[in-house]
Amino acid sequence: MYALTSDGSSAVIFEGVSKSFGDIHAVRSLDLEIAEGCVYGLLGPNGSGKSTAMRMILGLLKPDAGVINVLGLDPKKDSMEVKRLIGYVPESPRMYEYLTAMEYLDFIGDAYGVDGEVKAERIDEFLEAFDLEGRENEMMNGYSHGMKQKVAIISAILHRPRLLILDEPLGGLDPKSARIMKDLIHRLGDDGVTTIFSTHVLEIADAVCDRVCVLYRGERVAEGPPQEIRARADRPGSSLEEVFLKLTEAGDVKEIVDALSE
Amino acid sequence: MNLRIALRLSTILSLASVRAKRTMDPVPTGRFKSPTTNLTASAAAFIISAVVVFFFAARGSPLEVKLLFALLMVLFPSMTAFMAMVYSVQFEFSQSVEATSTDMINWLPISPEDYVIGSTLSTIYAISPILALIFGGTFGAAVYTGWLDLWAVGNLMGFMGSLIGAFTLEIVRSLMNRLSQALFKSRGQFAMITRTILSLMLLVLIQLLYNMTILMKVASWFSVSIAEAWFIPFLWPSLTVLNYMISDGAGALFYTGLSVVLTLIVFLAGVKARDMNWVPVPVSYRMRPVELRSLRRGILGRLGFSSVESAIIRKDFKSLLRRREMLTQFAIPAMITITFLVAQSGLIGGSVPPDQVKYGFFGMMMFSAVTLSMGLSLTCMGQEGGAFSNLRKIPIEPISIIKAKIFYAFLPTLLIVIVVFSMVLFFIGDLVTMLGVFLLGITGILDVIMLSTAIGVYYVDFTEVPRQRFVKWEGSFLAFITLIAIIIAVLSPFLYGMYRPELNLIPHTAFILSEVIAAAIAYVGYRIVVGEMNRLYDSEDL
Repeated sequence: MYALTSDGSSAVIFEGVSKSFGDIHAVRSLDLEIAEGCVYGLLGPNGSGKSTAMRMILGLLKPDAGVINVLGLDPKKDSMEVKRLIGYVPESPRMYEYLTAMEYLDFIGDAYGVDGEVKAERIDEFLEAFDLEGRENEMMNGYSHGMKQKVAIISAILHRPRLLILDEPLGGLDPKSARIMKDLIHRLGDDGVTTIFSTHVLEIADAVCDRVCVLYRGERVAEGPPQEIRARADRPGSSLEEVFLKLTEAGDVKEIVDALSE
Repeated sequence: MNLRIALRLSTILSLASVRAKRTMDPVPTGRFKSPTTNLTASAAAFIISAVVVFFFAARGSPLEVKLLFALLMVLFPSMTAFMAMVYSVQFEFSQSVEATSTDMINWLPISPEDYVIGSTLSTIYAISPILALIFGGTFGAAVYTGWLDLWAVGNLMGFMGSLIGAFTLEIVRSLMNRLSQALFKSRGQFAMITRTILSLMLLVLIQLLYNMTILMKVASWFSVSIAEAWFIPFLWPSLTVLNYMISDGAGALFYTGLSVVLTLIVFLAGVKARDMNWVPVPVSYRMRPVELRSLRRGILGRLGFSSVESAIIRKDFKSLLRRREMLTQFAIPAMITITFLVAQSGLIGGSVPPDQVKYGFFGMMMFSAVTLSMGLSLTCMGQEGGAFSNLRKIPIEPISIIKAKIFYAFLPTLLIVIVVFSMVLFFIGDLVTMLGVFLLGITGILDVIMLSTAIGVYYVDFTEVPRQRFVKWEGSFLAFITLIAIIIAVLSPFLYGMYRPELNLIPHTAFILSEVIAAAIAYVGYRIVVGEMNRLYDSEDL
């Protein structure tokens, strides 16, 4: 389904990447190699470094140490070129809410240099797919969280990126849109688009991802296809959730639940 | 550089100015549809001010009109740069670091050049009605004097000045991002106070760079006249106008060239600065652990505030000191006072006598206190943003919220007023008079707080993206008018006493009447604000 990493067709490479904020080590000596066309899940508890890693791929944060390569480019040096190739949906999209969805998407299309007719065609197509048709001329400050999330997703895929970065993309989406999103990720993968997404919903990671990387306190604790990680964690038959809890040292939650319910 | 993208971005950013209000109709129509509102207002402002100034100029002495017009043209570039700076500073400070760091502009392929041009054009768009007012007014004077060519040169340089001011903001923005990052490694209250003080100092310094009095003083240090001060870059646009006025074509051309170079340098510096510190890192200060206390303890409890009121007051003061977007409340009063003080102090060698400087300083301090009280009360509700819904979810009576907000706006002002009056008392004496003036000052400030809070609640704006607004512009305008009305109403017995000296109203009767009027306004203001708060609390539109 996706290319092997050894022939140089990697979409993203991290080599010994570290990033700290003051005395907080957000990412520590992280090595990653994500093949083109791969659907790659970044898993980890809150504050494990997932969003920091994603922001470094975009060139929004500079690593303190190590090297990052994105589609053959250095995100700090070739920042504009990298941004043109990437579509990004942040965890809490802050869009210009005083714009209508149509105005916003029109602007995004222009920013990415999408041709007028193609832009109009794609916007119509995506608005219909995400059930936003008929609401596109309303200002987004009246939209629900889920509707804003849909607009953010459309804006990230409008220019047909080669790399899609989705930070918790399914939060707030209704079941139909979540399903569309999952199918879309697979279809984009078939077309050679690499997708990196972070999630806490492990069933989704299990169902969607070709490979996952579990981060904990900024370090990589496991990496590989979900079934392989299960086997490596000595829990071949268990769910990814159990494996995740074991890897992130939160194994025995029963004790915590008991204490909380007292 | 992609000029098309820059223009597109400037349109998008300009739309923010006209769509601040969430209307009942979610589909933007009429004046909300496109950013032409300001342009229409600018055209009207130009025509009206041109006609009004022409009419008044025709009634004045031709020589005086010519002198005033010539002086205005020379000062124009400095004035427009100052305006662009003040507006931009407000805009900059009202953006939270968190919002800026997650702004979609960060990950779109928009180059720093495109962004700086787009952002600058939107700043000029926002101040265009004020610029048009000045362009129009000077046009009226130019038609009267027949100096249309001077008007064209002066306005061209004025426009250049506004570009320089707006580009400078990008440098300030970048320096502030850098400052936040540098202080990230520090901890606690000290780091926060340092950031606040350094940010204010940076702003004051930038303002001083554009202050014509200071620039002229710097020229005098080198014993040269203003016309020879070629080594002060910020004077180049003014020197273009000056040389043109004295018919020195070569000089005018020379300084035009230098002004263009200066504009380009500031632009490139802005681009470079933005490129270097494009995305601010949201600063996470680690504070000392909170001591969990039982309810109703502490000074606020002893002052009669309930536990929930005390909690809101403490929350608001923490927010005032910790949120960057709240810095704007201090920034403008501080900028006005410090710029005045530095420009007129003996340190710089101001031309104003020391006694007048002293009175001027006290006056400025009082003006700052009033501005601060108006700003804090006007924005105290809007600063809640989306979190206002949290206040409605927990069992708090609206009256408790209002009591807390009024105290929050009152305390910082009270401290300034106490400092000012202690200084006045020390330098001038007469305890009884000063206590009387102090009492009247405090009651007057309470009037401002009550009515501004009521306006802030009525015109509340919880918008958070792309910047915190706190209050709609109509509210800000009304608060300013109300402030003037309060000053006139409270001082009316004194004004009447001056008009009818035979009634012997000044000082005692006038003072008592003023105090009664001020107290009445404060009471009425309190009733209004309570009513408005109840309405907001029960509103279904939020």
